[in-house]
Amino acid sequence: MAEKAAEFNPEVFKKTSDEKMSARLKMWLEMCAHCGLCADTCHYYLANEQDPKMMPAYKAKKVLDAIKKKGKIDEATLNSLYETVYGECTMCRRCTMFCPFGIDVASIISMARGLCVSQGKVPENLVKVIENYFAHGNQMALTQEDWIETLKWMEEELQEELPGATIPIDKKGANLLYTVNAREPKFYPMDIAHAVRVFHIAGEDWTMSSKGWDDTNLAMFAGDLKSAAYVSQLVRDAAEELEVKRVAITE
Amino acid sequence: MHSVTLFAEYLRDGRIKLDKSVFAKERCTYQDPCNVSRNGGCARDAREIVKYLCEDFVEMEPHGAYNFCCGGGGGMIPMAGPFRERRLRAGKVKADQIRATGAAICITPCHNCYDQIRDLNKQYELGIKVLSFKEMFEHALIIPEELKAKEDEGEEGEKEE
Amino acid sequence: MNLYELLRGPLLWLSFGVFLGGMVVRLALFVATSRKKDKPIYRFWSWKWLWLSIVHWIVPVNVTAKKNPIVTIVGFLFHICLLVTPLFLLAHGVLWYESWEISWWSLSEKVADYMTLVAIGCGLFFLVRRMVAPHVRVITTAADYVLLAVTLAPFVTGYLAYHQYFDYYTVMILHMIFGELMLVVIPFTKLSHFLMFFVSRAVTGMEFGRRDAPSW
Repeated sequence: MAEKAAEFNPEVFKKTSDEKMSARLKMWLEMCAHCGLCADTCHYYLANEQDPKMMPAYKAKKVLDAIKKKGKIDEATLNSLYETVYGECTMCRRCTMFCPFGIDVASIISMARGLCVSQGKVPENLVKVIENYFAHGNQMALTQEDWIETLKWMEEELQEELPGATIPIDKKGANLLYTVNAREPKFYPMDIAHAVRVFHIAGEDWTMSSKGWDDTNLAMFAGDLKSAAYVSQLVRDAAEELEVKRVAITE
Repeated sequence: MHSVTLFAEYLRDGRIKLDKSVFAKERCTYQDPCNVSRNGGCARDAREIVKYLCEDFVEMEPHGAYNFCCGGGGGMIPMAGPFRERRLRAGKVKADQIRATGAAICITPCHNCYDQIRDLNKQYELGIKVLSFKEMFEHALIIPEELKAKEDEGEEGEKEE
Repeated sequence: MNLYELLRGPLLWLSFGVFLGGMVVRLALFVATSRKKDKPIYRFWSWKWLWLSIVHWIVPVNVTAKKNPIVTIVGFLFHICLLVTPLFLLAHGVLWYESWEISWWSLSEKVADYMTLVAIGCGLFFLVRRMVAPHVRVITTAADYVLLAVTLAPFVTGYLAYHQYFDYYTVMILHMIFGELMLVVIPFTKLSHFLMFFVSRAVTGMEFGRRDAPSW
């Protein structure tokens, strides 16, 4: 199960930040020359009337300031950090392309999200989603029956137009394993049919897996790297079990 | 590998064929998702698909690896709730970019971008269609005769001509 | 031993020692930690992306230079004058010759004089920018001002000493103190970017490169 987040705990905060502080992160956090050239590369800065507090370097500085306190942070600081790293950055890495030093702010934010995880500060919906991965192997908590049923339904739907079209499930040794975003079976099932059409017409030797079929990894975005490793292993296991040559992820 | 790369490969190898006339009258633009174009290296593959698919294609500025995030990335879509309002506000940059292209269709091969741009479409009244490549293929894919169901023949056949 | 001899002798060597030793330790620490915690660097090592990343920023052919021409020009002038002037100043060359009997090419006194003024002028530009531009001010810390002062002090005192404004001996002593101070603080502050720039550019260049994207 996803580790149930602990309460606010400065010691854990310090320990986590020490563990997560890689050579690159340390270098980047310390070397930022505060030149300000990243400001207008960020869509948050541009969309919020050029609010300086939305610029990448400011957010990175906030992370550094919190870490510098060596765990002696108060709850208000933690809350403010939480709002910044989850609510004001999509970790898109655009600023890195414009930074003269090539500072990867996304990694810094991701690390800070990890710090928030260690303090039990994770957006509620992401917590739920991570639990879904552990319980059902996908973010939408679809059961295996639901999944297979959706595939069968899409297969029938498609056969009206293309009589020979099938969705091979768990076909060993296929050339290609196709995985989807769990939002598809849940909200956009036709997406699956669209993909099947392409594979059918292309004459691809392909398959879908009955488990490990969700290629999203929201635990990674949450900054919960332990869970993220588990989630990515699900698809890897499926690929290995089915001995496929390639894995394709959905659009 | 990403679907974009796979689809580009199918088109390049002639394993699938597209009917370019289907979307000929609509101007298209392409949203480069951060984790596909910048962090996945698929920007060129997408342009290749576009060449087979669209007559009137306009790039956003900037585009490719330099494109702006739609605002829905990094887990922002599923976080929903209290983050929704901030997400839509941050999407203004993308909305302005799309508007500037004058496109009727915004193609994006990413579910986060897809959901975000649909929301932006409502919020900023862009009046566009948001489609994935798969969805466009539904209409533009040329189906070989031997794969067709009999009763569909007439209708589909006309489209191909 | 008077103050001049102290600064010219033992303290000079001490500051060179701290400067070089400090930077070696910094690099060693980076390598040691990164071997454990930054494995992707080594797994995706690529000389091609490493050099492309460095070259695009050591000469201004990148998106930021295009977008911010003024800051780029001032920044490049600043750094060129900062590095070239002290290394190729005739008076400094004489000192090297006196100590080690080595010599190299030097700038004409007039050019060096102008370059000193340019360095100071660019430094002032950055000072004003830091105080005035809201997006720079918001991230500015006291250290940023102190480091700018530490960087400019040897140039200001050097200029004053050359033109023999004020008491020459006092100004010269100050010049030596500030120069040595700057050397000593480099490894411990973000002035170390003179070297870490290359490390950071290299790792980011390779990280973007393995995803087939440019980082410039």
